[in-house]
Amino acid sequence: MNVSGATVGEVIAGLVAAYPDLSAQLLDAEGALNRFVNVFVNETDVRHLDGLATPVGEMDQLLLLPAMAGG
Amino acid sequence: MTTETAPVPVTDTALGRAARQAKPSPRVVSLACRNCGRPEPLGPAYVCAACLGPLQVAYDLEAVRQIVDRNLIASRPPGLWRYLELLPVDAPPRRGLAVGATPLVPADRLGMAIGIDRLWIKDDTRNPTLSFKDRAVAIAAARAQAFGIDTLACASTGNLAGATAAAATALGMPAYVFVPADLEPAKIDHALAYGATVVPIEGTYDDVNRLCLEVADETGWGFVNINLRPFYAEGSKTLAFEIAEQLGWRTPDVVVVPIASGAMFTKLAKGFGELAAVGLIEQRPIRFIGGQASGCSPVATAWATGATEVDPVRTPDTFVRSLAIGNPADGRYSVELANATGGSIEAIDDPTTAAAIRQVARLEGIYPETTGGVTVAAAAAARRRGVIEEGDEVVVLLTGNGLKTPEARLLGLRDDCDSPAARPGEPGLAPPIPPSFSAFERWRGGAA
Repeated sequence: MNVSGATVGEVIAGLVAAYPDLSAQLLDAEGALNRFVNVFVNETDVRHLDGLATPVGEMDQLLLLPAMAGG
Repeated sequence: MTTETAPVPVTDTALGRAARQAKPSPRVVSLACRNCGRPEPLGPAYVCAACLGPLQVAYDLEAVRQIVDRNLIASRPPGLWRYLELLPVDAPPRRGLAVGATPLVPADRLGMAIGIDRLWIKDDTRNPTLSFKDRAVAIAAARAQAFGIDTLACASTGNLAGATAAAATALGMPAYVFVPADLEPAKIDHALAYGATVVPIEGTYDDVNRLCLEVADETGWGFVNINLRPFYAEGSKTLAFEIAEQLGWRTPDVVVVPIASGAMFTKLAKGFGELAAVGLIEQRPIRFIGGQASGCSPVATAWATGATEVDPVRTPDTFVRSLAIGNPADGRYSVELANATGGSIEAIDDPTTAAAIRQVARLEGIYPETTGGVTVAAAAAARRRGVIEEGDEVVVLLTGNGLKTPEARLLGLRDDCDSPAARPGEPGLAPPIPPSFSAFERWRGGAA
């Protein structure tokens, strides 16, 4: 789906505004990212970038995945 | 800007439909979220629909207590299925590999070398594909069959590749194995030997795992460590069951365990806890010590700094590929376990790991892969730190065979050791000699 926003945080806010049920899954009580969600911008974890403040452009792809890494 | 939300609504996938047709065991109640406790129906789901926390298997332990005792277990053949009542499987599969029943070996010589009086090695290098991963895959594969899944798959740091490939072959299922493209060749070849389709991914293990989350959702394949993860993780409990039974139905003071995702570390604790809950052992405190490679030690770093969250490592830099998970799923739970039990999580550099591989191989006759070097070195480090005390009974896990990482033991070795010109009485490779006794005597006399 296409969502507008200049940062990862803005995009997620837009997503939650469009689909309010996602709020409980994606955000904690303080509005921070739920620790069980990993967010990738063009396949890079935002924790290796600037987190929710990571800037995004029109062609960037945001991927939301459950935090489930394990050998 | 394009946004994808993947594989959250698991109940609407093909796997979900299969799950609804599966008949639950009366002792395996459901899945339950480890974060919020919310129950989920038993099925190939792995994240909580409410909070995205990880799911685990919930048992009716009182029901298990009513049907299981030491005599029942003793009456069964060796192997992990003898603990059936505490596993999320209705009955042992008709086919499959002979997994578990690995020896618990007294390691006096190694213990003396690292200052531990009562040291045991749980030699899990002796599973069908030479690593503990056979335990996890056995459970996941049996459950996959119960769910009607027809293809097995995994995202592997190495040992899981061979374990998944072999288990799939034994059950007559095709297997897809996803690995980092630069994985040790021996581990890739191992999976190929069993007829798996191996898909090398140009990236780190975490890249492989991220891709496989999407592949699992789109294909419906049974990824043993993703959409079958709640069942897969239960396999590691059988290490705790065997250790307790081999010690005469009691627990050691300390266990030393390698940490990659942290699943084995935390499931060992769950295993010992369940044995106590169903009356098979007395509940006693156990210190949990974890080992990581310092080149990829997000959990050890969190423990050392007192952090409650684990900061992922972007680019692992270690030859301990089996532990090179930069973003471990059970990292936070592992830190909590070490802290709650008075344990520690040690970070071991690669030369120290290589030296520990040589040490355990030469002192005990057991040749572990890199992870075993990490756990032996972690035990030594915890002893120096005082987490392991004088008189403690300690079990160190060796979870993979050294033949899988054949170059590792050589790291940091001096040129004059193991050189191609070993002399009599020295460890190493002697020069080729003619097939005559006189030539042998010349070499033995030092003339070579």
